[in-house]
This record gives sequence, structure tokens and C-alpha cells, in this order.
Amino acid sequence: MASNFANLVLILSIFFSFLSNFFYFKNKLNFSIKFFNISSILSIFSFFLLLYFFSISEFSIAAVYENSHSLKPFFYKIAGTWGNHEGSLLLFVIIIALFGSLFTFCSNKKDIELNALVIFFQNNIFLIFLLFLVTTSNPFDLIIPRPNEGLGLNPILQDPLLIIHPPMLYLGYVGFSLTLSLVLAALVKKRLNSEWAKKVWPWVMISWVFLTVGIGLGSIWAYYELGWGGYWFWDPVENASLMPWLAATALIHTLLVLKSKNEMKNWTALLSILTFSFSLLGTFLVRSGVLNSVHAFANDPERGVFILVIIFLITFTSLAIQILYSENTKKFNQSFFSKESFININNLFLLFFLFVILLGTLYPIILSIFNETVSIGPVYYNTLLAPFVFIFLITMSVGPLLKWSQNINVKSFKLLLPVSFISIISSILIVYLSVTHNLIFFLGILGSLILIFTIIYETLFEKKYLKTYFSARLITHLGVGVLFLSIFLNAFLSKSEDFEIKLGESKKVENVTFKYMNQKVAKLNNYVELETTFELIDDRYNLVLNPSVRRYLQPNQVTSETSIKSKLLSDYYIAINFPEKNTTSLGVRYHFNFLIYGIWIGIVLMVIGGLVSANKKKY
Amino acid sequence: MQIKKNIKLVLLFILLSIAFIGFYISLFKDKKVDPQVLINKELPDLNGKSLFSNNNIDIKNLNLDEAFIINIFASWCAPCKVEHPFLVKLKNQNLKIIGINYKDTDKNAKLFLSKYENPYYKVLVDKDSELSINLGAYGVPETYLVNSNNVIILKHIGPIDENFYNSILENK
Repeated sequence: MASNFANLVLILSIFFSFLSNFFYFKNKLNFSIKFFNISSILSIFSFFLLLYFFSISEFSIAAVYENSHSLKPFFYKIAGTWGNHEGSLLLFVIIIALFGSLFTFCSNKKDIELNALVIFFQNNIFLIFLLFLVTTSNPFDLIIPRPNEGLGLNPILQDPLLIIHPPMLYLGYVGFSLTLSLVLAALVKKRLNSEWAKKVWPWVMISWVFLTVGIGLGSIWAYYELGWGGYWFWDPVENASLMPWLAATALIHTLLVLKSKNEMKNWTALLSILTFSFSLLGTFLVRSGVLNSVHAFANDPERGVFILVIIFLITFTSLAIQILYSENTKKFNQSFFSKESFININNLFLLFFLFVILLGTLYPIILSIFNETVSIGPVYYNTLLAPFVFIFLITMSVGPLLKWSQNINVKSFKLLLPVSFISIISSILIVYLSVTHNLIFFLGILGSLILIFTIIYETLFEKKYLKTYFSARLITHLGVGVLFLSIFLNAFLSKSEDFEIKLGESKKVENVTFKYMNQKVAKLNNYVELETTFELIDDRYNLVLNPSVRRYLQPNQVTSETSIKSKLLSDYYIAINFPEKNTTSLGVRYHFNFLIYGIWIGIVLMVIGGLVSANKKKY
Repeated sequence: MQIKKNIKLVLLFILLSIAFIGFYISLFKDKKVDPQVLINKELPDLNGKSLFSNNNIDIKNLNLDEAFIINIFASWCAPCKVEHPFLVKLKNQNLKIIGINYKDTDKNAKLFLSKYENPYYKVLVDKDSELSINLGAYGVPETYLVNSNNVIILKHIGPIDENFYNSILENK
């Protein structure tokens, strides 16, 4: 019953989506938009149905049976809706619909020619994924007879952060489908111009903000929950979310040029297409099982082939439309010391970063075709990326000070002198005090500080920036400066150590003394928890930490709850292993993490800047 | 102009097709890194430093002339402690177990083995996980049963349980 009803809703949604296409070809544009909205509302309704089935543990529904359990706390029953392949794909589909429908409500109703074409493209992206959902991964498949109990949700996914992490990433990924539709419509109608750039701006910014939040939450989750001791691991799946982010960031900057100068049209179109294609590639890498990663969800090559065909179809069609409809743009004169030329340089850097990450992520896949295995780790990424970050940060500091089209702006360069002076002195001081004599470290710190001090200088002395739209740029770029400063300090000044310790025992590792004070075993609803108390003494602090481990019953799995004490500049971090029965000895992993806060603050600043920018009425 | 666009289109199609085919092959080729594939295949060459001496050990050249077990473990791995009693029982059944110490420090590994009973006949150090990758392992712990002709007969991902323990005894 439940299954039939939900399937009916999905089928109706598909029907209205086809109807929308039909009316577009009949040139009844208003109908086409209306039917798209009906289809969109139906699909969103089906998602709420799935939410409902999860909340009441309706085990006759396949997705609920496979991923839920009556003992789960209610909160996590709800989260189970998108904690699995089928449910998350449905979420993916309804976000495409949601962005399309929001666009029809927010856009200028008079411009129906363009809007209808945007919705036409959006509708077809929607339809492709809806058909994929229904044919290969229908969450509403029926199970007869109805099982009495479900198979459970992966305990590692039982975390409040994880409830919002995937939807945020999806809102980002999928939000760029609307950017793609807008670009394709503009290409076909020959409307890719400054006016269009203003129209697309808030949609790009909001998707970018979601993607940034999604990546940030993933990073926070890895740090606080997984007990890995770090915030970024160059895991293929993390890379998969970083690639569209880099493309989107470059896109935002070409949009600025398009908005102000009506130039870089081809770049804008290409980057919009790349952004969504990389979002899809990310989905493919996570969903197909082509990569072995802690994140890999389902190992199902059949679905992989479908996603692959969809990526091919969408990317080819989009790029073909760009080739066929792109106008010939005159080579525009730009002097080297102009705003657009610096934007160009940094976009090339962003694409270089993207390429390095793409290669690192795909190389193992390429080699696997030739029966070789290789594992590519942080060393590859750090070696290739770190040296260029310095130039990237300098360009980022100088670029905004320049004027469009013009050559050298003497006034701006005057401020660079004191800023560089302060930055160099501070960097030398930091390197000296931290006793870390490394050129990459020095350059990284220097670049970040120049960016940060330039922005502070601008904020203090160029009052006009505070009132106008420049403030968004100032906040976001400050975030980037803080982020890179923290990354470099963290990378070079953190420490970690593994050791074994008995209850009551003291151990000295370098300058830190650990004492294993106490332990307690607690039985909860769906797990057993071992709670421990450690005392940690170093030169400055005397801390008590309470790391614990949980053994989940359904399914049987062990997870580690790390204990982290944050002091002004650094985190003390302890994770433990489940001990052998009848012994009191524990495996302990200790991390001293420097300035992790800075990384979160950097991300938060970028998000705030993005929100300010998305919200602007005037450009 | 039109010709130029057509050439671009064809180039685009070819490029994307190559990418498509590459991904397509790897999607199914992926089985290669799938651990099951090595079953009933000959053991790959596994050559590494011994944990307890400075000698190199080549598993195939140990000339064991009987079925043996390869077990990937690490001192930091909680499930490895869970399966430890099974390894000791297997050792007591006169099965030789070769340990591969995965991404561990020598100090911690030795500590681990001295605290619990050492079930291993030999232990190879696998700091950069090269040995484990060659074995097609996903992570720790993993256990393989190899017959006297150096052919892998069984493999198990995760800690050894009652079932796998019994199937080792049946198949040895």
C-alpha cells in the first residue's frame, strides 16, 4: 500500500515532467513552466513520504528495511532517509527540482523566453535523474512479507553533523545544475552578457556557499568524530567535492569580469559546464564503487554505468551547445596590471590546482586499467600544490587593488609597501619562534599574512569599501587568508604519538606526561561505551580528557569518540581503542594540533562573505 | 567557420568517448583490486623486512611445504585485538601464521606482541602498505589461507570469527 502510493507519486512526477517538455516544443511556454512546477512539487512530496516511512519504521519499504532499525533513536531514523544510496539519490533529484522551481518564483516574469528555456534544460536534467532513480535505485521497492526488523544504519553515520553534511554538499553540487541551465539558455538565446551575469550571480553564490559549508562540515566531522586527528586527508571523495568547488570559485571570478566588462564569455560558459560536470563526477566516484575509500557507499558497477552515461550525455550536450552557439569574441586589450588580468592569472592557478587533484584522484583508476595498483597520498598533493599557494595568495592580495583595464595604479601600490614590510617581519618572527626553518613554511605564512594585512589596511583606510559590495570580497578573502595561515601553521607545528598505557600508569612522551586515571563502562540503548579519564600535563597546561569508544550492536562495529581540549592556539586530542577483555591496557593516539580553530574560522568567514554577496540587491 | 565548429565537435566527442571508455573499463576492471580475485591464484611476491631482525623475508621462499596463514594486523587496530584469541588457537593447531604489520611503528608492534601472546611464525614490516596493496587488502585486519603450492584458498576481511576459523580448519 505504502509502496504503491509512493510509486504512483513518482510516476506522476515523471509524467508531468514529460508534459512540460511537450508544451515547450508546442511553444506554450507558460504551461511548460507550470507543469515543471507540478512535477517538482510531486517529487518533493515523495521525499516527504520517504521521510515519513523512515520515521514510522515502515519495513515493507526496501530502503527503510535496509537502512533503519526500530531501536534507532528517532533523530537518526529521520537521518536514515538520506544516509543510503536510494534516499540520497531522491534528495539529489528533488534539489534539482527545488532550484528550478525557486528560479521560476524569483525571476523576472516578463522574460519568459529565457526563463522557459532555462526551465526546459533544468527539467531535462531533472528527468534524466528521476528516470535513473526509478529504474535502478527506487527507494520505494516493496518487500513481501513485511520484515519485523530493519538491518540498521551504519553507526559511523550516527552523528548530528552527518545529518546535515550530505544535504549541504548536495545543495551545492546540485545547485550548479541551475547555473548550467542558465548558461545553456543564455548561449542558445545569445544573451550571455552583463545583465545575465547579474541574474545568475545569486544562484552561483548560494550554491557555492552550500558547497563550502558541506566541505567544511565534512572536515569538522572527520576531525571531531572519526578520530583521525586531522581535518583533510586527500581522500578521493574529499577531492571529489573540492574539484567542483575550485571550478565554481573560478566561475565566480569570471562572472565578475562579465558583469563589469562584458568579457570572458567563453570562459564563463566553460566554467559553468565544468562545475556541474565535476559535481556529477563527484557523485560518480562516490556512488559507483570505482574507488576504494572510507566514503565509498555502494559497490554497484551497474549504477556506475548509468551515472557515467548521464555524465557523458550532459557534458557532451552542454559543450556541444557552447561550441555551436558561442559568439566570436574579439581579443580584448588588457594590460598586465589590470584587475581582469590578475583574475585571469588566479583562475589559471585554480584550474592548475583542480588539474593536480583530478590527476591524483584519477591516476589510480587509469592505472587499474593496465592492472597496476598505486596509492596516492598527501605527499603528492602537498609537494605539487604548496609552492604555488604563495604566488596565488600574492596575486589575490594585489589583484583587487587594481582597476579594470588600466595599467598600474600607483596609489594601490603604495599600501603594499608597509603591508609587505609588516608581513615579512611577522613571518620571520614566526619562523624564528617556531624553530621550523623551511622555505615552503616561510612562503606560506608570508603569502597568507600579506593577504590578511592588505585586507585589514583596505578596511581601515579605504572607507568606501565598507559601504559597498566590496565588503563581501573583503570577508571572503580574509577567510582565505586565515584558512591558509592556519593550514601552514597546523601542517608544520602539529605533533602526534601512539602508545599503550595501563590503568593508573603514567607515561611521558616528549614533554607531555599522560596519566590514565579512571575508566567506566556504560550500556546504552544500541551501544556499549567505555569511558576513560586521562590527565595530561605539559609545560603550560594541566588537562583532563575523557576519550571513549563505543561498540555498536546493530551492526557490530566499533567507533571512537575522541576527546579534544582546546586551548587558545592549540588542541590536545586523545583517541583510544577498545581494549582486550581482562586487560587494563589501552591503545592511545595522541595529537597536538596547532590552530585548528583558524581553519574553521577561515571557512566561516568565506561562508559569511558568500552570503553577503548572494544577498546583494545592487551590483 | 562552420567547418571549424564541426572539427571541434568531433574532437570533443572523441575526447569524451575516450574518458567514457576509460571509466567504463575501470568500473568493471575494479574487480582487480577487489580482494576476492586473488582467490585460487598464486600468491604475489611478498618481500619485506622482518620485524624482529634486520633480515629480509620472502614469503614464497620460506619453503613451508604446508598450508599457512597470512594475517594483516596493526597495534593501533581495535578489531585486531578481538581476533587475537583465534590466531593463538590457530597457532596451537600447528598452523604457521605470517604477520604483516600494517602502517605501524616497530616499537608499538613489538609492544603489542609482547603484551599479548605472539601467534606469528614470522612478521613482515609493511610501513608503506605496499605488501597489503599487493595482496589486494582493504585494510586491517585481513586474513588469508595459503596452501603448500602458494595458492590463496581463503580470504577474510575484518576480524576472524567462529565461521572463518572453522573454514580454515576444514580447508587447511
